Amino acid sequence: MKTSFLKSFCEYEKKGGAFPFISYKFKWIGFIIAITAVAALLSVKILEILQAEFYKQLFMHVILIGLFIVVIAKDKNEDERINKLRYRAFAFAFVLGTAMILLMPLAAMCLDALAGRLPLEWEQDQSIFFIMSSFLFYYLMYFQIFKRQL
Amino acid sequence: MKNTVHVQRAIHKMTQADLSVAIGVSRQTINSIEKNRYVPSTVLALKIAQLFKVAVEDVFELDEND
Repeated sequence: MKTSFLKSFCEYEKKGGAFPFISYKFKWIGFIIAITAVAALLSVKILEILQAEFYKQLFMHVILIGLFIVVIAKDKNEDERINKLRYRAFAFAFVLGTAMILLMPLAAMCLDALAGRLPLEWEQDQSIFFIMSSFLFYYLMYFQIFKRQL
Repeated sequence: MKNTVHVQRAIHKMTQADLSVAIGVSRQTINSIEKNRYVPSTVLALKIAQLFKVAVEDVFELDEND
């Protein structure tokens, strides 16, 4: 049962698979959601409102949702070249994002040591927003660069 | 890999847009292939050769870096 499911899944992937999942128009919807959430986040920072921390977290999450919609939406001209560039951008985003998350606390520690700020502390921003936004931004950046250059 | 897609296109009096519609890819993909920035898949190479009624080797050729 499990083997046959895996086999049909692999066959489906061989024929192109389900990714990207949603149509091109969602790319714009995703951008609008992300930009609106950025504007809302800025207004929360500028205006003094009740439950500011709650709204800050909420809008940061909405930014991620908007960017995620952009990432999983199809491109205007979807073909084998775009598909190849997409997977290459995913690989670059994964490696660069992971490297940054791993190296940043070490770099911060070295800078603190050089500046003589003792005792040394382990500083690592492990928030979902930081990690997810790194991956999503790097993917979108590399995908746009590859599309223009390759 | 070198290719003569632009030559074959000129022989058949086709624009990049015509070729892209005929083989079902974007015009940017044809442009990338012609400028040797993108190496097409075997399926796409065969489609291009079939459209121009030539052998794949007449359109695509390995160069010294391959």
